[in-house]
Amino acid sequence: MEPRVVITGMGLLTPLGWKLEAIWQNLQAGKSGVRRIQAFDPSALPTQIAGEIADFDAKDFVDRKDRKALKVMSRPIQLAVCATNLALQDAGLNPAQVDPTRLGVVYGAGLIASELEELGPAAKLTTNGQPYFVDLEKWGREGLAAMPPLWMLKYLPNMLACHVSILHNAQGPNNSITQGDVASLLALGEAWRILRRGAADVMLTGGGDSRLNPLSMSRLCLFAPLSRRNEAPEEASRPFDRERDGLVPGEGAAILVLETLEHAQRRGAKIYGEVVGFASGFDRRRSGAVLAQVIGQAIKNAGVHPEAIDHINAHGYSTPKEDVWEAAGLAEVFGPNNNRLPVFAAKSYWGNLGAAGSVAELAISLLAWRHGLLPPTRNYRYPDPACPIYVLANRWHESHKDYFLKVAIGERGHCAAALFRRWR
Amino acid sequence: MRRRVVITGMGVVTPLGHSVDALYRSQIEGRSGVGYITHFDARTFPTRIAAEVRDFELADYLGGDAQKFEDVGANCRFALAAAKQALEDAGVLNGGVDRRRFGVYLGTGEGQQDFFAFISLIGRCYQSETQSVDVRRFTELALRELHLGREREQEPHTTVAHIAEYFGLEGPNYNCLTACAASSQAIGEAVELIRRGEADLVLSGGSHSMIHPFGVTGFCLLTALSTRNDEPTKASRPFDAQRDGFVLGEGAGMLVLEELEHARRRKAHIYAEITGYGLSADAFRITDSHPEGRGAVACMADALRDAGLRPQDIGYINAHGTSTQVNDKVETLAIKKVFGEYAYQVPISSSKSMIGHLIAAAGVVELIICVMSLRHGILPPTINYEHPDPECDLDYIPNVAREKRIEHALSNSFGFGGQNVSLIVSRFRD
Amino acid sequence: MPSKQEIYEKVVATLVDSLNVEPEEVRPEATLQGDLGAESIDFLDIVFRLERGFGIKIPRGELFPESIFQGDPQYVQDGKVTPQGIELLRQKLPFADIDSFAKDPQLSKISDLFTVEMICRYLEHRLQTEEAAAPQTH
Repeated sequence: MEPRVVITGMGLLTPLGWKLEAIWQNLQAGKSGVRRIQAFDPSALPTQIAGEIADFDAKDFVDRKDRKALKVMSRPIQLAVCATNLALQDAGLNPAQVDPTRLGVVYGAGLIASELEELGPAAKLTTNGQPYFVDLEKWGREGLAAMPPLWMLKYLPNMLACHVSILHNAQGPNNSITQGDVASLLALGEAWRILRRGAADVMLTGGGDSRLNPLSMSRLCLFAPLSRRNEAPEEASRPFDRERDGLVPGEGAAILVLETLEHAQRRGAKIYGEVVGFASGFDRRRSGAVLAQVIGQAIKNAGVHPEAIDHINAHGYSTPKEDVWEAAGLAEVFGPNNNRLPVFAAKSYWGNLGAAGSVAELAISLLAWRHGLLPPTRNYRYPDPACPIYVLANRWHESHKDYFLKVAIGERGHCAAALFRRWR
Repeated sequence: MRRRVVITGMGVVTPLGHSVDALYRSQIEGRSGVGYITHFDARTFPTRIAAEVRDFELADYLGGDAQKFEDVGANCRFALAAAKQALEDAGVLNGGVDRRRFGVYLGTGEGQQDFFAFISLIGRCYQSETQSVDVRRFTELALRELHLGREREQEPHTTVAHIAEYFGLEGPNYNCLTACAASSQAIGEAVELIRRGEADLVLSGGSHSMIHPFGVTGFCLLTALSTRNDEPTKASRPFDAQRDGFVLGEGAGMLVLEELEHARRRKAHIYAEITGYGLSADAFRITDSHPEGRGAVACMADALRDAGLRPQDIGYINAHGTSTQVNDKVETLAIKKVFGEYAYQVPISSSKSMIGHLIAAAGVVELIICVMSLRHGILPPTINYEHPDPECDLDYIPNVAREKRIEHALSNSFGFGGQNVSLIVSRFRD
Repeated sequence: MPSKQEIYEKVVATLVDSLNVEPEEVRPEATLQGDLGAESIDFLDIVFRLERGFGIKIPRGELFPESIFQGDPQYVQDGKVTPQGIELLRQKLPFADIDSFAKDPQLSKISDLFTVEMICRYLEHRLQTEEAAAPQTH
């Protein structure tokens, strides 16, 4: 028999805080994590709002002896490393007590932007004020010497999982999934697969991402469908609402500790829930047809009846297009208005946390189980006939049933679904 | 019994040929694909050499459809061409199989950053006195000058999306980026997807090009590249005592991986079976290998266990063999630890001596070379092997190819950051 | 030109920043790898910081030479550095304490040659030569 896989810890660094109690309180108070960007002056950008983490200093989360490595970590790496420490604490797991070859790491990561200041001196030396001009001869001769030698290491996407493996002596399977906004759920799926095939006892999974810097935000403003509701940041992220006008970028990290049931029970761990089904695919026409099959598969391979599902934790980009095909996929599986099966969209609180998003979002459902209550989706005021699903708004949902479904989609057509069972 | 996974299609774009046959022929002939960098003016860089892909046109593979990919980078172009070859080779280009059961798992690198646009922007906005950037001006100019399409294509998930979309593959879709282990890891995890029944076919492999100003700058700064600029074809010399760093290569490799019964039902040609996959992390340091080769030992042993093979069953090892001082020494040590006395008998070679280091794409291309070696019974050499290193004292098939019939080959890939992967391919037997 | 003490203090500050160690740990005889936990990338970082801090260029391999022996058996035999190897070390690392190393020349201990003291002596020499070469301005 294949091992069962349970979740025994979570570490979250989000625009609504990082202590689990604080995040819950902020949800209860109906707070939004979206605000005008404070990390830099966004005034020249069409989108000036984001789900931002206030006052983050990695030193607060990392042991003194481990701080040397912080100099080669860009912000997404630091976020993931710190959230990992929180997750291990929450799980009550000391990695030194796990067989190091049976402890693995699979994280989702995105494209990491170079910090502009590091390139400044070299750029100044080799440019002449004209757009698109760089004196390459001079760059080779003098520019390189003006750059910090470890520059590249700060921005490699595999460094999230790499640093974590070093800090916690995790010698087991290690991978970095770079699959846009679906990355962390795919990472979770892979970690689940690794545990099921017996290649590890404990897997750390999730992701870290931050696009809240001048370069990434400029790039996103060019090609991503961002909200421009700068006057009302807290109302900007409104998944499935008729008045939605685009996604709100955000930053964060979310890490889960996944363990085989046997390992968790042996050490007497508290258990948040069990991962019971997973499937993924590519909805190349972005019609929802493949998404529906993926969801169906995840439910089927868990051997669960759809009626046992308590709620759907949706992707809910808050963009005009993607919400439509996600809703179409959901409606195809669960029927029109999905038979009043509540849909919750966490992005309404903090925007799109990128490669960390799906796992941060599903963590709220896990917390909801613990409290017996699921928060409403924020900013859902005007139902959109193009999104014929039942979005839970304005009231808390009493969470009784035993399963919830997490859905993640990517703007190119990537999709994944995972099913979780409440632990009793 | 677990589902068996076989290779039914292969395709490559490399510095030594844009087809599997051309690549293998040049490997057997021991040719070097290394020369002076032509993709940009690298004359003043500490390293001016690389193994570049030459004479490559996407239209040769996609015809008029190549126009659809105007904004995509080299990475994605190479991947599309290699994927087309592999799918055609497997006879699945025009459907006939269930799209939903056909996944894609790649290890492709990030797209290339627009060096000239980006650096010229920073140059105008950096204030030396305060060592800071005028962010308002930067963002203003960035919106005006950065190219929407090319910026979008830099995201690391775009290549795998283009491939799935263009070829109509709707199954599980992943991209992993574990530096130099990426495409090997992609293949290993794709095998697991099929074994576990999440897919019946997976297009798997990788592509990468870091031969651009940012890539070469980054590696030069880390002093990782060979600086043997006067003798480009001699620069990549794995296991030779005078090795002084790796040589960048570029390209792509793709495999069609298929569940055995599925392949049989449609009477597909079977190249070989993937029987072993091992992975581990060094968990030691960011760029230094563990001095005892801990991670490399673990993943080779793991792959053997997965395949149910003994060390003596392996007839050939395609080494990671980067031509850096440390890698080649530690890899040699690790092979000795896993293979014992037999380490001195098993032929080992490094394809990187000829095609350089294809980074994310290295693993898949080297695995394809293993498959061809299985089929043809000729093992490619390690070229430029001239000065024995007492710490590298195994049989590296120096300079000349060798005839040997083998049943199983093992390929190693070790990533910057400590991810290690070993794959074993075996002659297919019922 | 800064005094010996000034150079030493600046080196200490550089290492504290780069290696995240306490100033007390950075004694003159402390080895960079063994005592202060430096790994190979840290040597690159230290050189860069010293260049900025002292306003000099340090050519690659001059302060921290890499793979000195290239596996050549005339320099290394059975894990020990030969007398010829010791001579080569004296050339490549003129500021290191080769005499102490020569008493038990294990190749594996070669990294112990890289000490705080060695960096300081190198810098003193470099800054002196630079001052002597610089045109006098008043």
